[in-house]
Amino acid sequence: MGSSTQALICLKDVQKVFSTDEVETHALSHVNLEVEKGEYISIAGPSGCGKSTLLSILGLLDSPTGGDYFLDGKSVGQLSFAERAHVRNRSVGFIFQSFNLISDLTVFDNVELPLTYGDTRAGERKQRVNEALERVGMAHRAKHLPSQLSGGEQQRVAAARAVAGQPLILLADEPTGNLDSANGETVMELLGDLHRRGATICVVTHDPRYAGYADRIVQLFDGRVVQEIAEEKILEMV
Amino acid sequence: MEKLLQDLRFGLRLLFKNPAVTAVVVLSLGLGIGVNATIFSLFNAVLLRPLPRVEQPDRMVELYTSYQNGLRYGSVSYPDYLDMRDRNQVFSSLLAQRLILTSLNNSGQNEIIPAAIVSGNYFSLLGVTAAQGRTFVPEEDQSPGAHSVAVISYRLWQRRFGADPNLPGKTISLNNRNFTIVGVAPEGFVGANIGLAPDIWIPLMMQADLYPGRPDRLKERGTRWLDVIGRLKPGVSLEQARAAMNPLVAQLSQENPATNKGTSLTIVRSGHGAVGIQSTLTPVLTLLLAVVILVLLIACFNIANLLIARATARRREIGIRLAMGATRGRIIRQLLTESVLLSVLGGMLGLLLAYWTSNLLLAFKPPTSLPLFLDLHLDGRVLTFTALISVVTGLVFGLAPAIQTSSPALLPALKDQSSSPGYRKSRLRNILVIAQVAISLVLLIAAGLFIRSLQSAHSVNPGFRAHNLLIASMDVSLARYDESKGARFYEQLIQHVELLPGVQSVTLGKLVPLELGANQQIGVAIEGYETPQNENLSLDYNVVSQNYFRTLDIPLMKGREFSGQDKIGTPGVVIVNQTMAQKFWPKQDPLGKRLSITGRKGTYLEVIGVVKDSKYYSLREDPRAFMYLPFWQAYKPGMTLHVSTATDPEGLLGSVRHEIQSLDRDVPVYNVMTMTDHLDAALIELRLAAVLLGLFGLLALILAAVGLYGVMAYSVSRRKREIGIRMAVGAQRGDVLRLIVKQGMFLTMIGLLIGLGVSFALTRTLSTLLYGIKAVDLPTFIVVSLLLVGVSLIASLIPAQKAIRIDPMLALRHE
Ligand SMILES: Nc1ncnc2c1ncn2[C@@H]1O[C@H](COP(=O)(O)OP(=O)(O)O)[C@@H](O)[C@H]1O
Ligand SMILES: [Mg+2]
Repeated sequence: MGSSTQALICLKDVQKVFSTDEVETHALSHVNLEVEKGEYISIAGPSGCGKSTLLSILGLLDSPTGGDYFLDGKSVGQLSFAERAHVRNRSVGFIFQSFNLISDLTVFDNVELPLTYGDTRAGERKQRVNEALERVGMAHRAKHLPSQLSGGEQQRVAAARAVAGQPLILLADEPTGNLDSANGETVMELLGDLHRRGATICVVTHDPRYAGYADRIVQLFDGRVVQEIAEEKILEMV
Repeated sequence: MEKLLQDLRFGLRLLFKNPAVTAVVVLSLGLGIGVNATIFSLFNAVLLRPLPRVEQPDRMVELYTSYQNGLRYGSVSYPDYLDMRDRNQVFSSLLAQRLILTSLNNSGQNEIIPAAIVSGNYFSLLGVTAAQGRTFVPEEDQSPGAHSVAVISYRLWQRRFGADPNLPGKTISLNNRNFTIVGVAPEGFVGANIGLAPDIWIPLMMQADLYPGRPDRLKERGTRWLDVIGRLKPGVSLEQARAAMNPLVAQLSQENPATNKGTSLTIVRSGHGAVGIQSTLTPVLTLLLAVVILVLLIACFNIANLLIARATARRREIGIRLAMGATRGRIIRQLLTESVLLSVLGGMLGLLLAYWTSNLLLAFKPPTSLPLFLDLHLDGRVLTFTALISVVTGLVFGLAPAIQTSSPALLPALKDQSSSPGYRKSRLRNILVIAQVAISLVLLIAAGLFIRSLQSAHSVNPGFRAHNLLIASMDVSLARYDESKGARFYEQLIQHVELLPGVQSVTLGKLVPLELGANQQIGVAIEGYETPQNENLSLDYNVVSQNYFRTLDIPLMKGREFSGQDKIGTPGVVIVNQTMAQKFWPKQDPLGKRLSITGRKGTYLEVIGVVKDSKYYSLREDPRAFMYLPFWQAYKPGMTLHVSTATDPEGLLGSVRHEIQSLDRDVPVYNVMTMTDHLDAALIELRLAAVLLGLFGLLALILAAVGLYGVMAYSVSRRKREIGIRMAVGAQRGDVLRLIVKQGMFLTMIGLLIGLGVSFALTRTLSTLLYGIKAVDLPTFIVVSLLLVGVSLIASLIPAQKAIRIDPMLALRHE
C-alpha cells in the first residue's frame, strides 16, 4: 500500500483532448482531484461534461493527454499495455450504466471473469465468486444467463463482478441510469454497504436522490471541476 | 413484372452502395463460376458436343472386334469390314478408317501431319460435302494404288495453302509420294472421332504407300487394323443392330475359323469405344467437374455468410418493410432478386475467365503423336450451363439469408435490440464455415494425392534409362525398301549416328517403352512346356538390335546381349526377362532353353540371355513376361532409333534427324524427342489431374480462408463490446488473441475432422486413378491438414489482431 500521507487517487492537472477529423474536443481540462482510501465520491454534472471520460481515466481504460495520474502513490503514465491491464485487473472494479455483462456467459462465469485474468486458483475463485454473489443477493441465480435476469438483477451481478477481485477502487458510471427507482435504490444501497465495509468508491450520478451516499460531490462542468462539496454541505442540500 | 423491376432497381442501388462487398462477392463468384465454365467447356468438348458437321451424329456407332479372353475394343480387318458392310440390314453403311501420321512436303517444307486412311464412303456416310472441289468418288475405292488423291482439312488449307481457291488439282507430297488434292473438307469438320482430328484424308486403296507394316493387309482377314464406324438405318436401334450383327459375325467365324474363331463384335455409340480420347478422359473429367462444383459451393457459402452478416445490418429496413405490410414472400423475393443479381454479375465474370482459361487448358496438349484436337470454344451449351449455375448459385446462397432475415420473429428489430437473435445466425454461419473447411480439406487431399502420384510416377524406376536418351522413329517401307535394303539402311544408320560427338551408344527397337497404346504380342510354343488346352500362348515382345540393353541401361542378369552376328543364317536366338524365365523355367537355368514363334514344328530359338524386368506399356503395370527378338533375324521396316548420350540429348535431336535424312530423304522420320519428353507424355492424364486439382484445391483453400476470415471478422465486430468488457476487467492482449484464435481454430478443427472422415471414405474411389501410393496416403493427409490449420490460423489471426486493438472505452461507450 502507498504511504498513508498520500491519497489513493491523485490527478494533477489532467487533460483529455479527443482529436477527430480536425475537431478537437476538450473533454477534460486541468482537472485536479484527490480521493482518499475508503472515501466515497460522487461525480456530477450535465451530459457531455466529461464524467465518463474522467472515470475511464481513473480506471485506466483511457490515458490523459496531459497531466499526471498517481494511483496508490505510483504514476501510471508510463505503464505498458500489459501493466495497465494488470492494474485494471487487480486494483479497479467497474460498474457500467448498461451492466455490460457478457450475454453468452452465465452469471457465475461473468463474475469469475476478472479472476480468470489474474492468478487466482480455481478453488479460491469459486469461493470468491460465491461470496460476491451472496453479498449482492444473487447466489441463487449463479447458473442463469444475463438475459434471464431483470435489469436490477443484472446490475447486481455487475456489482458482484466489480468486487469479486477485491479491487482498491470501485468505479461506477451512472449505475442506476437504466434502472427503475426501486432497483436503483437497491444498487445504491449495495454501494453504500460496500463503502461501509471499507471500499473506495467513485460514482457518476446526476440523480440528487443518491447524492447523499457520498462523502463528497465533485461537480464537473465543461471538462472542469467547478465545485467540490463536502459531506456536511451535501446533507444540507438534500 | 413492375415489382421485379422495382426489386432490381433497389438491388442495384444496394450493390453500388457497398462497392467493396460487391466486388468481393462478384470476384469469388466469378472464380467459382469461371472454373465451372472452364471445366464444363472441356467436359462439353470431350463428352457432350456432337461431332461437328456430321449429319445426325447421334446415329453413328463404333464396331469393334472382341476376343473371347480379353481385348474388347479390337480393330477390324479389311475383309471382315467388307463382309460386315455388305451383308447387314441394319446400317445405312459402314466406313473404315485408320488414323496415321504422314510427312507432308510442299515447297521444301517438311511437316508431320495427322491423316486418316479412309474407305471411299467415308464422307458420304458422314454426310459431309467438300468446301472446295470434291470428296472421294467410288472408283477411288476400287483398285489398290490406282488413285493418288487426297482431301485436306479446312484448317490445313488455310494454314499451309493460304486458302488457295485453286488448290484442288494441285499436287502435294505425302511420305514422298505425290498425291493430288481433290478437295477441301468443310470448316469445322474434324473427322469421325472427338478429340482426334486428321488434316488429310486418303483412300484406303492407297494404304500401302502411307501406312507401314504389311502391304497386303487389304487381303488379310487376320490383320486387324481398321476402326469401323457405322450409321444406323432410320428406325433401327442400337440393340436391334447388335442383335442383327451377332449371327452375321458368328457366320464369319464359321466361314473363317483360322482367323475369326473366338471373336465377336462389340457395338457402342460413337465416342464410347476405344477410339478417341473420351473413354480415357471420362474419369478425370468427371472428377474435375465434381471438384469445381464443390469449389463453387465453397464460394456460395462465403457469399451466404456475407449476406447473413449484411442481413443483420438490414434488419431494421426489413422490419420496416414488414411493418408496412409486406408479405414474407415479397421480402424473400426481393432478397433473392438481389442475390441472383450478384450471381449473374459473377457469372459474367466467370464466362470471361472461362474464355481465357480454356485457351490455357489447351496448353496441356501432350507431346504425343496422336492428332489430339479439342474445340473448347464457349458454345451455347456452355453459355446455358453458366447461366444456369449462376442463377442456381444465386438462389443457393441467397435463400438461407433471405428466409432468416424475413422471419417475422425479427419484428423486434424495429426496436433495434441487437443482442439475442444473432446467436442462431452465427450458428448457421459457423456451420457454413465448418462445411467450407471440410470441403476444401477433401479437395486439397485429392489434389495432394495426385501430386504425390505424379511425383512417385516421376521417381519410379521404369527399369530403363529415362535421362540422356533420345528416340527417333522411321519406317523404310514407306520409301518402298525391301528387307535387305532396309537392313542395310539401318546398319549404316547405326554406324553413322555412333560417330556423332556426344553419342554413347546406339540401338534399334520396334517398340518404345511406355508409348501410349502401343503393344505387340506373338504366339509362342515353348519346348517342354505344356500349354493348357485351348490356351493360345501369346507373349509380349519387342524386336531390338545389338546394344539395346546397354543403351537403355537394362541390366543383363545372365548370358549375353544380341550381337551384330545374330542374323539370318546363324542359330535363332531370343532374350527373355526375369518374369518369363521364372514362369516357364522355374528353378532351372533358362539359358539354352528353346521356344518357337512359328509353331511346334517350326524352328526353335535358343534363350541366350536373361534381362531384368522393366516397365513396357505403362508405369502402373505389374511385372509381365516379356521377350526380345534380334532385329537382324526378325526384321521390321518401322523401327525407332534409341541413342544414349553423355549429356542432355536435346542438342543432338537435330543432328540425329539430319543423319537419317542424309541417308535417304525419302524415309519419313517422326517422333524425334528425348525420352524424358516421351515419358512426360505417358503421364499426361496424371499431370492434368495433378495440376488442375492442385489449382482448384488452392482456390478452395483461399475461398475457405476468406470465409473463415469473414466469419471471424464479423464475430469480432459483434463481440466488440464483450472484448471491451474483458479488457476492462483486466484481460491482457494475449488473452483476447487467444479468445478469437481459439474460436477460429475450433471451427477449423471440426471442419478438419469431418473433412478427414469424408476423405478417408471418398479417396478410396480414386485409387484406380492414382499411381504408386495408397488412397489413404498418410503424408498427404498430414501435410494437407497442417496446411489447412496454418492457413486457418492466419485467417483468424488477422481479425484477432483487430480485436486486440479495440479501444475498450469506445466499445463500452455507445450502449
Ligand atoms: N472517443 C471520443 N472521441 C471524441 N469525442 C469524445 C470521445 N469520448 C467522449 N468524447 C467527447 O468528450 C466529451 C465528454 O464526454 P463524456 O465524458 O462521455 O461525457 P459525460 O459527462 O456525458 O459522460 C463529450 O463532448 C464527448 O462528445
Ligand atoms: Mg457518460
